[in-house]
Amino acid sequence: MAPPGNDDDVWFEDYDTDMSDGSQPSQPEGSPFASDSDDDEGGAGSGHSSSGEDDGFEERSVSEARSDVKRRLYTILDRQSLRRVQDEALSQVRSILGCSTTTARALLIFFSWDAEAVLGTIAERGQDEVYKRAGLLSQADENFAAAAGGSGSSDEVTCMVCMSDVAPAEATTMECGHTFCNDCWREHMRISISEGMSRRLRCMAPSCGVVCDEDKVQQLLKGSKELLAKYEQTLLESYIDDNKRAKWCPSVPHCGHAVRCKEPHCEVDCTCGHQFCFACCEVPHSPCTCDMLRDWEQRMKDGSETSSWLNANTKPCPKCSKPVEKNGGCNLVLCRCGQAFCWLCGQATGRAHTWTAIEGHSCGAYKEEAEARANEAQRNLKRYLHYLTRYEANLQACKLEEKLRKECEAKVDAAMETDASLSNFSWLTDALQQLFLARKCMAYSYIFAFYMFGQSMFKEDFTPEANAINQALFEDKQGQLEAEVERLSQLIENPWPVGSASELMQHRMAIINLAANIDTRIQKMYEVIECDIAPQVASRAVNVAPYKGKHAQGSGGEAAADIYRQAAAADPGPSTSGRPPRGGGGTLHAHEIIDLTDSPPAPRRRSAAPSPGKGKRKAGA
Amino acid sequence: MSGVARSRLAEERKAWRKDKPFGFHARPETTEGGETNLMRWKCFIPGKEGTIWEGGFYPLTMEFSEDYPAKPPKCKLPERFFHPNIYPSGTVCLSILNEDEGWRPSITVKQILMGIQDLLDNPNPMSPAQSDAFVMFQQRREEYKKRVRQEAAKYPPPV
Repeated sequence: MAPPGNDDDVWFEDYDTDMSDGSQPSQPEGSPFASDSDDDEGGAGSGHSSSGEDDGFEERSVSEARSDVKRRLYTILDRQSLRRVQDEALSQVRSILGCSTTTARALLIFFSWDAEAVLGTIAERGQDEVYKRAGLLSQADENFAAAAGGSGSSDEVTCMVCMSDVAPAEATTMECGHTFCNDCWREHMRISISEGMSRRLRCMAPSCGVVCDEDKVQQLLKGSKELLAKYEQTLLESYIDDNKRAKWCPSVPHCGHAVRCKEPHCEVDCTCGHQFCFACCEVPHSPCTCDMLRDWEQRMKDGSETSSWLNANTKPCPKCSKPVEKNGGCNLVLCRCGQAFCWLCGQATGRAHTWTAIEGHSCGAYKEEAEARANEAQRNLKRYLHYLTRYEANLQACKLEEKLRKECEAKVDAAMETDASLSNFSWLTDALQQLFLARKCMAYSYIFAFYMFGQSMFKEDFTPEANAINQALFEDKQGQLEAEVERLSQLIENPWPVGSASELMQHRMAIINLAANIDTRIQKMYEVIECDIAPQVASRAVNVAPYKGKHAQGSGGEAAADIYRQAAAADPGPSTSGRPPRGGGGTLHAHEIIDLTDSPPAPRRRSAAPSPGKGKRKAGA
Repeated sequence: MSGVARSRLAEERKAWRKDKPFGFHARPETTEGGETNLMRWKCFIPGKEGTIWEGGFYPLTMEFSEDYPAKPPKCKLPERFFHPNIYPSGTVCLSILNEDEGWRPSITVKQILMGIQDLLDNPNPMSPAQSDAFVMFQQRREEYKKRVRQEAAKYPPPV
């Protein structure tokens, strides 16, 4: 929903950084900005930044442009751009509501910096209610307060904090009409700011929840630069700390960048080189979901492999709980602790037994079930190992192919001698990058498959039949991808036909085609997840970060396409034709990157949610 | 700035003398050397008339920091005081005493004491601070009332 306003307002939400950049959309190819975005693209593919320069511009096309839109799923912010986007959000709210910056900020913090939510809720519920909930004075109160504050200005005022009488010039009245002496205000602000409560710097009067006006705070703290700087810094960082759609880059040491995302499930390449999943801050793991990865890593960490074996082959002693393995003999098992128990049911028994039964104990009816349980555990273990092997093999291949890159350089030299016209090797770096991408994708697709078809995490969502169909469908796509990946890997690694120019050309074409095929195969695999499997799941959200391929086009671009459409829809009619689609057509920026010239802001990851100051009277723990 | 806490407390003391609510006591502690320590007050809060707390005079200490009044004083009832919102240590859990919540520098000693008196008979089930009193208050109200009356008898008026 875009509020009516001038073009810039309308465009704010989706394309804010475009206009704030200063350089304008259509950059001539090869401009510093264009190569900037290339460098970044190179950085995205496992340490390939050196290839960025070779990444020819000649093939920039509509699909490239669309991939720009796609990458705009997120924006990397540094300190300056942070200030800019924040100011834009503030001025948007301010200009529409006609309120002060302080009020606009309090509203935005209350609504997690979602300007549209602020305006939408106000339109829906009315200004007074929203203001009240956000701990602000309504317009009427404000007028009243102003009137109250204005009167009786000639007499001395008694400050109710230090209880002393001061001249009116020595006192400050906040928007709510409460007056206190400047010394007390300053002390209150000093304590609040140094305790990290800049965002909720409230009036000092009892049960007054009004936030202190920023101009007045600045006026009062003029003398203490350090405090004021901290105040402003905290307000600035609130845009990230209180914003559901923004996060600090989790790099260690912190690079000072923040990321703002439109879609929480996306994978981010920060300009510092750190790649992470926006939703869980872990390594990028698409197509496996955050839940799956978490569980998987837990499984690997606590060596569930071992615990599965234990499950399958041992039983806990009913007395000392230590796992006991039966190494032969009858079903009366004796633990080292001296406790006897029945191997079939795990219950404690006496020690006396005959050939066929344990004295006073009978559990034959459960025998089958117990065996089935043991079998099940064994099957699960095998299943886990199956996926684990493939997951690890692909990640391992990824590492090995890092080596391949170096070998390729030698091959390139040899090829150059054969055919000097092959001076541009962007096709090779592209193919290698595609290969890495595919390997990672394969690795995580095994985790996805492990959970998706395991009939445990999604047990309620699929009947065994539906599950089998899904699995077949997915494995078909996965298998096709795997085959292509192997072929490409082989093609690049095997000796090249350096002797003849035409054979070399053929070899090159084969590599290019294979890389393109792989891209398509990955997309197809994602399509199966997005269109066939995910819609059947009702028990939980299947949030898979979209595939952002090397030549990103088509699938996974759903979200991107949506954003693009929304943007087009929000574009006020007549001017549409007059301007290049922002973020699309003309600009070659991947995402806005502005170099960090200032020292990075200290990352403050306090999760302190803004306390909406509901005027709760009673005890709070 | 560090003088503010003491001068404000001196004023609080004056104001308290002028306008003392019935049954309440509040005065700065006297040290062994006979000096007055403005930063630590000994108080008594009477249970409200007509409530199960009536008859008790509950001793409370208020500890002020140098950051007072920017920060609230720490208010403590006797250890293991029986009330859903009093921690086992005796610390009172009340929003106006929480600097992240309802504390404002202009809240007076009188307002704090009246606030705690009010809390006694109106516990806040949303923020329990001890389990004994909380569980009994929630599940066995009659037993709770009886227990509170017993407790009240343990705190006779100060001499």
